[in-house]
Amino acid sequence: MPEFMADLVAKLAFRFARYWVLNRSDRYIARSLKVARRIVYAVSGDETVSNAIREMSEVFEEGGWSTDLVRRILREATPEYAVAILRSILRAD
Amino acid sequence: MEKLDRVKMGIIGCGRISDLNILGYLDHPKCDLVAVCDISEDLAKARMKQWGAKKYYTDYNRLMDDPEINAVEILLPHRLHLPAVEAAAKAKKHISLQKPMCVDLWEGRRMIEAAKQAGVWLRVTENFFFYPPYRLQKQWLDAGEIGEPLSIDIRLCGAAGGWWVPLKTWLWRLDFEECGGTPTVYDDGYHKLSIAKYFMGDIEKVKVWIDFTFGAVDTPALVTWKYKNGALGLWEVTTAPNLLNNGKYYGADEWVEVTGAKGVLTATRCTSRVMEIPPLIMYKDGQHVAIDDIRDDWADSFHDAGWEFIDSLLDGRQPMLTGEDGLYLMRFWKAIWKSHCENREVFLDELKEEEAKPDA
Repeated sequence: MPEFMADLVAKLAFRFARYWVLNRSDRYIARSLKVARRIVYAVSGDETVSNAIREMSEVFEEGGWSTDLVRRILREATPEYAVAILRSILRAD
Repeated sequence: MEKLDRVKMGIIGCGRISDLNILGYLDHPKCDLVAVCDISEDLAKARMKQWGAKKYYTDYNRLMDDPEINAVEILLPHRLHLPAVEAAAKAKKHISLQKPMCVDLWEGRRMIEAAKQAGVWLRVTENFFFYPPYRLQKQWLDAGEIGEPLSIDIRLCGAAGGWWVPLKTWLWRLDFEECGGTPTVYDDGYHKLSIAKYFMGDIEKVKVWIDFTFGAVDTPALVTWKYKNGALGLWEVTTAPNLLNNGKYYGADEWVEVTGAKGVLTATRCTSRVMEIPPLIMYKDGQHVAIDDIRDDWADSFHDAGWEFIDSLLDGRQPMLTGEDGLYLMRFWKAIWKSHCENREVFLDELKEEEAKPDA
C-alpha cells in the first residue's frame, strides 16, 4: 500500500476502531468483522488485510482476556503512536 | 549418560519461531525429524510436509508415547513449559526447551529435578548465545583482548517492520498473566540477560526503571545491574515507531558494547541489521579491527543452537545452557520485576527461596 494511503487508512482506522471496540460487544464486533472482511476482499483483493481482519474476528469470537487486553490497549494508546505502528503494518509486504 | 547413535526429534509447537528453531535439525546428518505436533491440525500437517517429517500429532502426550522419538524441542507458550517438560522427562526424551524457562521459579526447579530423575538432558534454548559475532566477542573477551571487562552496554531498539506474527501470538505475549511476565524485558529480554551473564559472569544486584506504552508494552526501560566482580551493566530499551526496520525477522535490533580496561568490543546487530556496518568491531591500542567475514544472520544462531543440541546428545554430554542456567536467568528477571514493583535495588540472592515448591 502506498505511504499516503497507509497514513490515511491508519488515521481513520484507529479512530474508528477505538470508538467501535470500546462501545460494542465481542460478538457484535466479531460478526461485523466477518462482513467487513468479505467486503474488503471483494473490493481490494488484498489478502494481507483480509487475513488480518480474519485474525481479529477470531480473537473477538473467542473473547475473554484477549479482548479485555485489546480494550485496555486501545484506552491507553496515544493516537500518534498507534497510527505510526498501524501505518507501518499496512506498508509492510 | 549414554551416547545416541542418531537423534530422532519431535517438534512440539509449530508456530512462528519454529521456522528458525528447526534449521539445525533439518540439515544435521545425524538427526531425523520424526514427528511434529501442534494443537492446530492444519498447521501440524503443513509443517510435516514442509519439513519432511514422518508423522504429525495434535496432542503432545501422544508424541511423547512415540517410541521412535528420543528427543524433543518444546516451543510452547510459557505456561505450558512445566507440564510439557515433565511429560517429556517421564517419557525419557531428551529435552530442548524454548526460553524463557518458566513463569515461576519453583517450576524451573521442578523441571531440573524431573530431568535429573528421568536421566535425560535438559537444555533451555536461547539463540543469542550462539550468534556467531557474540561467540567471537566472548572469545576475545576471555582472551583478554580488551583487558579486564569493566562494563557492558546493551541497546534494544524496537521499530516498525519485521515478519508477520499472528495476532493471537502477540496478544498472549502482551498479557502479563498469560505470558508470565512482560513482553519486552521478560520475554525478549531473556536473550539480553543471557548475553549479560554469558559475557561478564554472576550478577549481584539490579535497579531498574520501566515505563509502559499502551499500558501493556514495557518500553521505554532502563535496566542496570552490578556484577559480583564489581563491573556494571546497562540495558536500554526503546521503541521507535517511525524507524523502518527492513530486517527479515522481528522489527528490533540490538547493539552490545563491552568496555574493558584497554579497549572496547562492539557487536552492532543481531536480530536485524539496522546499520550496514561490520557486525563486530574492536578498538584497542589506538587501532580499530572490524570483522566483516563472519556469519551474522540471526537465523545462524538458531541453526547453531540446533546443531549443538544434537552434537551433545551424540557425544553423551550436557548441552550448553543447562536448566540451572535457565533458572539463573529467571532469577535475574524476577529481580528486575521486583526492583520495578518495589522501586529499590534487588539482590539476586533474595529470590532463591522462591525456588522452593509452593504448598499444595
